[in-house]
Amino acid sequence: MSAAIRKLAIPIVFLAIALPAGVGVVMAMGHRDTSDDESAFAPISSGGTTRFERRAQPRWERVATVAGSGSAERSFAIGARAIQWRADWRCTSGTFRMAIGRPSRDADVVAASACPDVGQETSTGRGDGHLQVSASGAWRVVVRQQVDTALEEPALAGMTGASRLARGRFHDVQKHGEGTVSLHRLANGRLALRFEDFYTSPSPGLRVWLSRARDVRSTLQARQAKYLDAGAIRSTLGTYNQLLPADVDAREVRSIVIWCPTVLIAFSAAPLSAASR
Amino acid sequence: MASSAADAGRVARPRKRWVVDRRLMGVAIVTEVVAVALAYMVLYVPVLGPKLTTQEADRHWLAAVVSATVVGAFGLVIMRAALSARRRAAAIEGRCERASPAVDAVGAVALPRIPRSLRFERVPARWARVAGALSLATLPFTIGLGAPLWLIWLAILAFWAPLVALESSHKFAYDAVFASFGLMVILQVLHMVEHSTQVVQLAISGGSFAASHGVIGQLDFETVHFVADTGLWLSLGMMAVMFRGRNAWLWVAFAAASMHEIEHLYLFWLYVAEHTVYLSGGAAGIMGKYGLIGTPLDRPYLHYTYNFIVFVPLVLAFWDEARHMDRLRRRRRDV
Repeated sequence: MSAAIRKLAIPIVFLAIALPAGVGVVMAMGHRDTSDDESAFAPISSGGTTRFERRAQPRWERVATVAGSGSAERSFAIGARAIQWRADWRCTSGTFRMAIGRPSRDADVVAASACPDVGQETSTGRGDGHLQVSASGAWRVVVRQQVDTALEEPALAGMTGASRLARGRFHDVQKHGEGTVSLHRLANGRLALRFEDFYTSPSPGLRVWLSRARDVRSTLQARQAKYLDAGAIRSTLGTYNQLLPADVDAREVRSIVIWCPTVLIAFSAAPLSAASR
Repeated sequence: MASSAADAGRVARPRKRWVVDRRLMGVAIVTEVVAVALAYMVLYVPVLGPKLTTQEADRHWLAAVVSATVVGAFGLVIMRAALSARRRAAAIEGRCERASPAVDAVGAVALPRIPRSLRFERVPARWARVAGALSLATLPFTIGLGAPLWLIWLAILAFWAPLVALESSHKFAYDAVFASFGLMVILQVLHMVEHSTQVVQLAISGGSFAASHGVIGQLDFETVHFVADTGLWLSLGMMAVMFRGRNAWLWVAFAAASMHEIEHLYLFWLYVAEHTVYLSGGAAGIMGKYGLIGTPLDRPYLHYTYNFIVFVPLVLAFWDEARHMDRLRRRRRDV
């Protein structure tokens, strides 16, 4: 019996020690807290102040839309802080030829096609651009730029203190969230959200959920409560408006949740309160 | 020296020599490499996913206790059955020993480096070489055509499947338990490939769980994990009884599989009865990061660890069993 115990003891002790030992050695080499995506932004100087500029999740903004059924030209301006820009084109009949370049310079032909056809041209250039289209049928070109700056918009017409139904302040759930959100009823009866000084951790594809929970402090609470998906978030940083679907009942919106459908987690949430009207 | 007179009367004892167990040393190296790799992943490639708050996770402690009790009770039944099988076998062997030499006594004769029972016996070596060549030959085609990972893997396995089936049927006719054990090891190898691939995918994708579902990602859901790991756990228990508890590494594999099973019973209960909780972070289970008890290991790393500590002793147990099989064959031939 003792031989059997000895036989068993060696492998058990070995497996019990070897694996944790290896993990322990690397753990001892240094631990990095990765639970908060902003933990890397620690102050690094003692004398002066170090400022970090917040960036939004890169988003596409429309710069210009040109449409016609023959030849046309149009100038457009790409922001100095744009990451990149693109021109999406579509033609339905005849031929289509598109050239893009700087104003008052020769433009490069970037698309030449028999229609119907669609295409996309991308570039990282900034500043003024000039678009030339020669076509024999109907066509449409949309120029968009990708930016990661704050989205700053004035309040929509009719968004006043009187139109505000409820207001709430964002807090962290599994990611960071700050700023405020207000629920307004516009003059046409449509509901809209007004985000102010809003920031949530950048991530692609975030959604805005209108939740029936009084407050959401965990992903489980976000999932357990009834909610309505109000669409993709317009920006993770800034002060802007977001129109809600026409069929939303204001009485059923008790909190706003920023939801990540890729990882299935609640990023941040804001409980709405009518008292702070 | 004062004691020299006393020492003169003593008989010099031969010194004990420390012999390094090469196999154990090999396992130690592999284990350390895996442990360091896992620790790196835990520290630098965290997996982003839903997490329960402590209160939410604690709410389901009873399910974990029930899981542990069920697994513990089964373990006790297995140990009892193995011990009684061992006692019965000892009584029979005691009667037979007068007529035939013991299995281990026969083992003193030099044995081949790789146990005969692990080699292809029915399938000609030429066929195995052809299967290997054909498997490799599929790679340029499947990769060149942009086939998904699962198709590349299936194309590799396709040529081996008939050979394994043929060899298994041959070994099955000789010793059904050993052949079943072999198939179990092959399945666990494939299972381990899945988990290893997932860890590599996490390393490549920077911890994106959505992009890391192993080779056959379509099967990466809780029911499949539960059935596979429960099947392995039950099979290991039955093997321990059938081998009358003599294989030490098999007990280690069974103990590790039992720990894994507690986790999967709990997870499967959450998956079926509390699906929203499961989706909202409950999938971390008992020992996963932010789980009921919790460790720094995210779920994929935790389950890789569980499978590794089942896999290593399982392979060693199979090797030992193959050696035992060789000795048994030799004895049968001698008798």
